[in-house]
Amino acid sequence: MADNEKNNIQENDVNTAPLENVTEGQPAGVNGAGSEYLLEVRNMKKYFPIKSSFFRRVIGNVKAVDGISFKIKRGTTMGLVGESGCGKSTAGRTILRLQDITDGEVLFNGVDIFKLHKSELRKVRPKIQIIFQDPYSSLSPRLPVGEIIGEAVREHNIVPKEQFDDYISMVMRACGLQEYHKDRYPHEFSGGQRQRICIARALALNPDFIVCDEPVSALDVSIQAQIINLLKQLQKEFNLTYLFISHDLSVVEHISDTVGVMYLGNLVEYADTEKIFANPLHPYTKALFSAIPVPDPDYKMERIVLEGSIPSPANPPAGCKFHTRCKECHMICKYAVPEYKEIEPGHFCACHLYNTQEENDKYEQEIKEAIKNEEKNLKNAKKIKKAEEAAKLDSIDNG
Amino acid sequence: MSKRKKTSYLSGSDSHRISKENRKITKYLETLRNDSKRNPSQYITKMRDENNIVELDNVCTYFFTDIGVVRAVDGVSFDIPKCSTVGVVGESGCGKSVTSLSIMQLLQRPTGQVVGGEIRLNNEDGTAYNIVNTPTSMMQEIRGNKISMIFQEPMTSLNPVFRIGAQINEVLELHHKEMTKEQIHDRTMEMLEMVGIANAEGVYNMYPHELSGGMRQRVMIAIALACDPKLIIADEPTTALDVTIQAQILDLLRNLKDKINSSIMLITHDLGVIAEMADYVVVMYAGRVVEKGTAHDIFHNPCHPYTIGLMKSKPVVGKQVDELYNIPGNVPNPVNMPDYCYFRDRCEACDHGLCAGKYPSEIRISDTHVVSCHLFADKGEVVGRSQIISNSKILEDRANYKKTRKKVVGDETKAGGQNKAAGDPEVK
Repeated sequence: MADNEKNNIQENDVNTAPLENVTEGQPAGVNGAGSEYLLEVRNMKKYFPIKSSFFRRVIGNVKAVDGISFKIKRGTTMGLVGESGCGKSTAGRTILRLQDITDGEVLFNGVDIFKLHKSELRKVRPKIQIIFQDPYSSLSPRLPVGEIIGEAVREHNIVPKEQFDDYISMVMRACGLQEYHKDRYPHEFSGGQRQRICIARALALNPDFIVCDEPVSALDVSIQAQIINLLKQLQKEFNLTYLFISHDLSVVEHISDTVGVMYLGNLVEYADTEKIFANPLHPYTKALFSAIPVPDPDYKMERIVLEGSIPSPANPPAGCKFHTRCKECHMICKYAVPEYKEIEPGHFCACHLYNTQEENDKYEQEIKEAIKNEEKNLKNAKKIKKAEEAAKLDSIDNG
Repeated sequence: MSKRKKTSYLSGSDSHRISKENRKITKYLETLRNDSKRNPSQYITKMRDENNIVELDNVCTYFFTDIGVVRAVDGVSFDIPKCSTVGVVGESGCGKSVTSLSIMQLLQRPTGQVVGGEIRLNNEDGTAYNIVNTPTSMMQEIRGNKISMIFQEPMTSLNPVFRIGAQINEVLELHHKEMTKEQIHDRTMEMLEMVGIANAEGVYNMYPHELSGGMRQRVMIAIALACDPKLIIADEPTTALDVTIQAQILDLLRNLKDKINSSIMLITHDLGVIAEMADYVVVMYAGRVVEKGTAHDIFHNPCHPYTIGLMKSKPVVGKQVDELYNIPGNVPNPVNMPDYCYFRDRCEACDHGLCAGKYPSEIRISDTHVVSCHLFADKGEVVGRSQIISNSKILEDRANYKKTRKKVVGDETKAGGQNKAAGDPEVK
């Protein structure tokens, strides 16, 4: 690919779109366009309302993502892992503004993308791309491959019209597709090839940041290796930044620089890949890592098997959300929500096991109050019950 | 474009000829299979080794499609010993699922047919069923009773309109007609508790959509275990599940195997799962077994280049590599398989002089370890050579069958003048 051309485009965009916005009075440019962090997520929340059947009244919320914060450095990969239903895909889609945010900020290049107008957003759009999980359903069956890759390129005027064909061929070659594939339709390709088309489609827009939403879990083992290698190679070539969402921990370990572990809408642990795999702090992370099957029949390990399955995000347990399945659950975990904080430099974790003495004392008081309140409530409930029963008896007597 | 046309283009007359021949063949094979009055001597045989529960011997399963014969399973042989776990690994499309469906006789018929070889199921009394020749009516007694299966997707393999309890009861009602309703209910509850469902009474009355993926897979396992089968075929039981739930289900399967004394045939593409569960491993590629042996043999001393490639292509936690190995190229077209080693075009260890010949035969390099590769030709004795069953051979059998059939029918009409050729579907 013509590097000059790419650089030109990149410079142009960086100079025009985001900088304009910064001058328009964004939160004082701590993370300007030149910062080492490309993406910063601050306390992001995404709730899906549950509506009653008749009046469509909102009767509750599914807290898919419940306040997560992280930063991703330029040219690195962050892995996001967790069980299905923990909100990792929702997080990925919200970062792209494919759906609205409930609360919080997503700063891309120092600009909150949820405060942009439609026209401004259009300029940022090509810079953030996504690769979906299922290459069978994410490609239009009625468009030829060249059109699938080129549609957005034409829409966003990435290259002049005369160079369009050459550009598409170049992108396809970079992703390991042949030029004559351009006129074929997606059904003529195997799963691995289709995933390459998805990657080419994302790459054609010269993005800085790509969300990879389980890009390899629908593929075969040998094809997985091809796609992972391709993603790594493209990252080196074009200095891309990835958010790699997956539930396959061995893949995440291979490709990521930092790893975040999610549980029920919260980030429970975040650290460098080496650190987190060598020394996981949170009990959930420990259990998750011990569940990875190792391809060695003589390898014996102590497996922490988690009982039950993930609770409903519509009605999460009080206190620490993990306490219902945790082996090291204390009194404190049932009442107080643990704080997400830095335990070692660069190693964040949300667990009461790593509280200091002062914090423990503070929490203890809270718990005492909470228990008192509970007892009060119980007493009240009993009183009300008694009164009701008395009323019932009265009515029977009268009757 | 012209090149493409040459390889995959079929003219109308070609396609007509193929489908006509397919019809002849499948019709003949179907008659054999549906013949419920078949002489038992044709399907009762003896096991080679009484310690095996199932023996597969040169099994060939072909699909007679309109573009040609797809040899999905082509001369697969391996044994499943009693009370052990046999893992089958391979990429998708390598025939591992078709092998298991051949054992269950659940192939998509009439297109898919087991055309040759023997699958012997131990009957525990010195005799064995040859499943390939067993008529469908007999198969119904075996299926679910002696062999049962756990499918990949628990979401789609449970019936959404029946309660969980009813779906487990169904199996027992079919296979144990002497049981009363109470007994069946008790047995179902026992099964639900055995697979680790805490709230068994509640789940009994639930519908599948009320359960999570892991719970549904537990219910599937309960259905499979209801009749105390001798062999459980688990076709990718954990692929659709999370890591933590996968650990739960694997734990459960391992404990249950000891509890009910049965064997497990575990089909998966995850080498980690195989290493953890299996005693014996069978590696398949393009419809054939390329390597088989104990888990120790395969993981510590992999011999076939495909097995080695498969292991190198999976990232392992704790092992840092810059670039994952990937096996170059693609699986050959299943309609026109080459006559040389199927892996030759993708193989890195390929020696062009040595590998130029026909498909390599199976070579035993140690007591338990068998590999099918030219590079090991002089390192052990030749055990078996798989051969392709051609259409003409099946048509020959068909002609013979017709002749004997006519004779039998003729004799019958002479003798009693009754039983007119009612079951002869070969008449055009």
